[in-house]
Order: sequence, then C-alpha cells, then structure tokens
Amino acid sequence: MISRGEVAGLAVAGIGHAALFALLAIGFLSESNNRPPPPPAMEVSLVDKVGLEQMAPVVSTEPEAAKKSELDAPIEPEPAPPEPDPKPVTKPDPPKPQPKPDANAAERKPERSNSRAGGSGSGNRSSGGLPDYAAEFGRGNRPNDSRSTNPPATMTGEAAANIASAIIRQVQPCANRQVSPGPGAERIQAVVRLQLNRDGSLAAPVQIVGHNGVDDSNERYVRRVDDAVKAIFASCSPLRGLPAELYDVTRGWKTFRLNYRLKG
Amino acid sequence: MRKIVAIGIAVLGATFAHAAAAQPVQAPPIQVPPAQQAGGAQEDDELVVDLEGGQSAPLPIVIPAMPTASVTATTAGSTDELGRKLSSVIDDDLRNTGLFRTVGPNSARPIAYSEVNAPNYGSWATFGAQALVQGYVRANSNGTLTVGCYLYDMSTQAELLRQGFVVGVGDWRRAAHKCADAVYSRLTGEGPYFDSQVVYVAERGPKNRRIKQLAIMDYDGANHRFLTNGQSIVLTPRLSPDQGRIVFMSYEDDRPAIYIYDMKARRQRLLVSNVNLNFAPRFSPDGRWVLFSMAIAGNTDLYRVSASGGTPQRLTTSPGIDTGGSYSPDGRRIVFESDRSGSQQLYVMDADGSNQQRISFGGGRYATPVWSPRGDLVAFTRIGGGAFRIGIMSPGGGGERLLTESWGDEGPSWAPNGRVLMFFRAAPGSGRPDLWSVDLTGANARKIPTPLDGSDPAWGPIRP
Repeated sequence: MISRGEVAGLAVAGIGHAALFALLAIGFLSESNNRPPPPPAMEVSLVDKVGLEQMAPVVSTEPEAAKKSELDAPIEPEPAPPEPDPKPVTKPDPPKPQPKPDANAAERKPERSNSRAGGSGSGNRSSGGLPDYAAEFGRGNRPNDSRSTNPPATMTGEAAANIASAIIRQVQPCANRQVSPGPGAERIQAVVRLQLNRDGSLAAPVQIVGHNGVDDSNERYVRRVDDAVKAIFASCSPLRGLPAELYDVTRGWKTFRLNYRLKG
Repeated sequence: MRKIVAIGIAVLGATFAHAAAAQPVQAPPIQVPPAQQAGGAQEDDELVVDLEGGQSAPLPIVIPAMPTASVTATTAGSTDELGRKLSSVIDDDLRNTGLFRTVGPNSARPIAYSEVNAPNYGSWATFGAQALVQGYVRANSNGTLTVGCYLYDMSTQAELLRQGFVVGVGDWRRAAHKCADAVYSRLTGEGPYFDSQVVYVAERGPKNRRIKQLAIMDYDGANHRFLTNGQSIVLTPRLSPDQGRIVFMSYEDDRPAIYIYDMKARRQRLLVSNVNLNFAPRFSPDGRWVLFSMAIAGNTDLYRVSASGGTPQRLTTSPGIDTGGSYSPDGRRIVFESDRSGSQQLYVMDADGSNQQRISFGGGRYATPVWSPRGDLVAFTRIGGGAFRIGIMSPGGGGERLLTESWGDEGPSWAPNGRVLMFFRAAPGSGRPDLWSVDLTGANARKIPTPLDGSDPAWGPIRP
C-alpha cells in the first residue's frame, strides 16, 4: 500500500513535472517566434585553380591616369624622365640607321622590379577609364606602366600587331581629317620614324625618312603628305595605353616606323 | 557531403576555366607589313605601323582682314580698308579653286597688328580650320605698299610660310594674288596661277554683225581693258611667254593675216605678209618663234616663223588640213590636228616636223589641242554627237578624259600651273559665248566674269 505521504510526494512530483513541461513549452514557442529568419542558402561559386591558390595582394599596376584614390599611389620609383630631344636634324635624308635597342638593357630593366613569377590571371585587368588595351597585349603587358611585374618582355608578333592596332585606333580620327591635295597623292607613302617617350608623347619631331609611290605626276604633293603626317601626330598624341614592358625592347614602341598614305 | 559536391563541381569548373584561359580572346589580327622600299635596313628590328586616312574635301582655312600698324590714306583707300580688300581677294582666290572652304574677313574676327606673327590659335578652333592666313599692310613713304603674308598650320601650330610683297598702290590686287598664290602652292603642292592675265576676244552685237575686240584682264576678270577698238575682227589671241606681246589673227583691211601686238608700245604690226590665208598662231615656249597654219591651194600645213618676222619654214607636208599647232613646254615637240585620216584627229611630231604620230583614236573629231605647261597632258576639244566638249589625254595618246558635259565648249587654254583650264562655252539657244574655267579633275566649272561676251581665251604665264 502506498502511504499517504508517498501519494502526496507523487502528486507534488507530478505537478512539478507538469509545470516544468509548461515552462519549457512556453519558452520554446516564444523563442521560435523571435528567431530571425534563416540566412539564405550559401552560394557556391565555381572557382578555378588560381583562386584556390595563395591570394596575396598584387601591387597596383594601374596607370596613373586611371587612378581613383591615393590608395593606388605608386610605390615604385618615378618613371624615367623623357629622353632629351635629339639634336636638330639639318638633313632629313637619307635615313640614318637607328641604334639598335640595347637588348641587355631591356632585359635588365624588369629585374629591378619586384616581379611575381607567373602572374597567371593578373594580366587582363581593365586599366581604369582607358580603353582596355591591356587585354590586347596578353599577359603581364600593362599600358604605359614602368612598374613591370613580369619577366623580361619580348615583342611577339601578336603583341606587335596589337600595339599597331592601338596606335592606329588613336590616330585614325586625325588621319581622316587630312585633305588630299590632288589626284595621285594617294599613291604616295610617307615612311616616318617616330620616337616616343614612355608617356606616349613625342620625344622628337616626326622624322620623314623616305617615300614610296612617287612619280612625275604626284611628286608635287609629297610635301603635303609630309605635312599631313606631322599634323596627325600633333593632334592625336600622346598615345595612351601602350604596354610599358614593350617600350624599350627590340621592336618596341620607343622608336617605330609608320607608313602613312592619304586616302584618295 | 554538400561541401564535397561543391568541390567536385569546382574542379570541373576549374578544368573548363583553364581550358578557356588557354584560348584567350584575341584582337582582330593586324597584318604586320612586309619590309618597305624606303624604310631603311632595320625592318626586322623595328615595329612597323601602316596607317591610311584622309579625304577629298575642301581644306578649311581662315583668312581674317589684314591689319595695319597705322591707318594711312592712299589712292586706293586707307590702309585699313585695303587690309580688308586684300584679304577678300585672297579669300576669293582660294575659295574659287574649289579646294578650300574659306572663312573670310567678313566672318573672321579682326586681328590686332601684334597678332600677325603671333597667332591666337585657340580663338580659331571653333571654325575647325586646318590653316590660317594672316598678314598686314603698310603704306610706304615712296608711294608703295608692303603686304606681309603669313600661313600657319593649325594642327602643328607651325608657320608654314612668310612672304612680303612691295607693290605700287595701284597694284594692290597683285599683292593679294601673290599671297594667295604662295598659300595655294604651299597647301596644294601645285604651282601658282592667281597672279596671271588672260587675253581673249570680247564680243558684242548681233549675230551677223558681230564686233570682236582684243581684251586683256586678270585671271579673275579684274583690271579688264580692251586692246583694239573693234573695227576689225580679231581671232585666236595668244600671249607671249614674256607677256609683252600678243600674236593674233585679224581681218585688218578685210584680209585675214597674223599680227603681233606690242603691249608696251600699244601698237600692232603684221607678222606674216603674203597672199595666202594664215591663221592659228601660237608662240614657241622661248618666244622666238610663232607656229601657224598657212593654206595654199586648198592644202593647209604648219609653218613656223621668227617672232620678229621673216620667211616661214614649212613643218608638215601631208595632204589635207594640218592646223592648231601647240609646242610642248620644252619646245621639242608639237601637237596639232589633221584630217589626213579622213576626220580631224590629234597628232604629235618633233619640232622640226619629223616623227609624226597620231594620238587620238576615239569616236568623233578632235580639235584645238594645247600642250600642258607641265608637259604631262594635252587638252583638246572633242566634237561628237552634236556636242563640243573639253577633254585631256596624255601626249602619248592614253588616259583620255572629258572634263565638261555641256554641248558648246571649245578652245581650252591651260592655267600657268597646268591644274586648271579656261575655255569658252556657247549658251544654248543664243549661242553667245562666255569664258569658263574647270579644274583638271572636271570639278568646279565656273564662269569668268567679263563685261561682254567672251571667246578664245589664252591664259598667260605667271607674272614676275
């Protein structure tokens, strides 16, 4: 038989459990009501193997013209000053052989920078507000930037074509404005040597080194064709967005030849 | 488990991404040009860029009024008025070539005297000009004018030209023409032609009683004056290379003959005196000879005679009509017309009459050939389909082109630079002739203002 005291004890225990159950139930319900909504499902992005590698900060290689804040201030030494103007040319012809670019010097320059070997995936970023010429030049070749982070650059056929394309794109509007002096002028091709500073400005006056397509019937227009090519580069320079690494290399854009022909 | 799936997808994605990276998007291929003839010996070591661009359009040019340092009265007006007139003449000269789009002194702001050799390029930018002509005028104490002429390139901001001209006050237009000539030559590469004169036949009166006078004027119709009074009909006047004489055909005393008019003495004399019909005279390039045609017994041949007179020398002998002779600029060859083949065609021969060759073979007839001062072309009148048109071809006979489309164009004469031709055009219906000019390209046909009707123009050389 259960004693009276045991009954009372059981009743107290039962009431206690019921009260505990009720308290827990109320607490659970109030917690579930105040609970913030669950976060959205995590997006899973498909990363390539580059993203899976070390993500060390990359030195800003934006050209100064495209900088938006002091955060992008250059940390490399100032670019070399423009080369001094050549001595006045008293005899424009015949063309003097240009000294070959110092291949050793060209190869030495990149060694001074803190280059990051490889640099896979770091060469195709847009250059701020400028047209994305960098994308045309392939990996590691940045527009008008002296702070190369790449191994010694060489001018490939593709890079040369892309630089030519970039130059043409910038000067074409000025070329289109030139007026043909007369019939037959369109057969004249002015062969011009251009010397540029690293910032794309002319380092020396446009030098006419020769002409093709000249005959008795159009010889009188040669001077005007020369005037036209000078006017083109007076109006459409400095040239922007050319890869700094390919400035002072063999076949670089420091000194290049331009063949200009008026459109008839 | 979920993480494992994501990594698996990432690896696949990386594989595709890597494959894509191996085929980067490339710019359109640019052909790297082959080595060029005039490019020097370093093609392999040099970046080469090919550029082509330009347009065939009038060149925009600004010509503000010429200022003067101190306003001085002259017989042609005050120097500040003259400055505006000078610039207006330059404006007209350049615009009328069809090769320039001018902003003349009526539209361009006046410039200060100090600005003449220190142009304010920025102030002209709104005109979109590629060149700027500035200058000044000054009256000298000896009664002459000094006109300064400057040409600037707006793109390079370089001075392309600086010339000064001292002229008598009455010759102020010549100073303007000289300045315009210098600008034109510098900007087109062509020789000058504005400072030149034209002799022609001024006509008036009814068709059956036409009065024809010898007249001379500037190329643009200014400074016009008559040289004969119209009592005798005159035809085919030609200026001598030194511009001191005019050879022409006249019906003086009702008998056609060749005369020479002396500009300085204002007197004419008979050059060829005989009973035959003499016509179509023209000076040799050195002015020592006159080429002409003489008809004897129904046969017409080319002759030459000393410009001072004497016995003519026969150059052609073939049956038929050989006429319209014109020397090449070096005096070694002659182009002429002949009907020896059955119709009028063009022929070329050596100056002594040897080595005669036909050069025209198109349909219709060819007449009045004139050798270009450059030597590279022959202009002519082509007759066919009831129309007379002006054409050109090479002295060898190739490259024939017709420059005009009207039905009554004939008698071409070359400007001294060989770029422009003057001719006369008969109006439809009335047949009244006027003088016209046309560019060598066939463009810019313009009527030359004359006080009367005009025919048979002969463009003289550039004046010294």
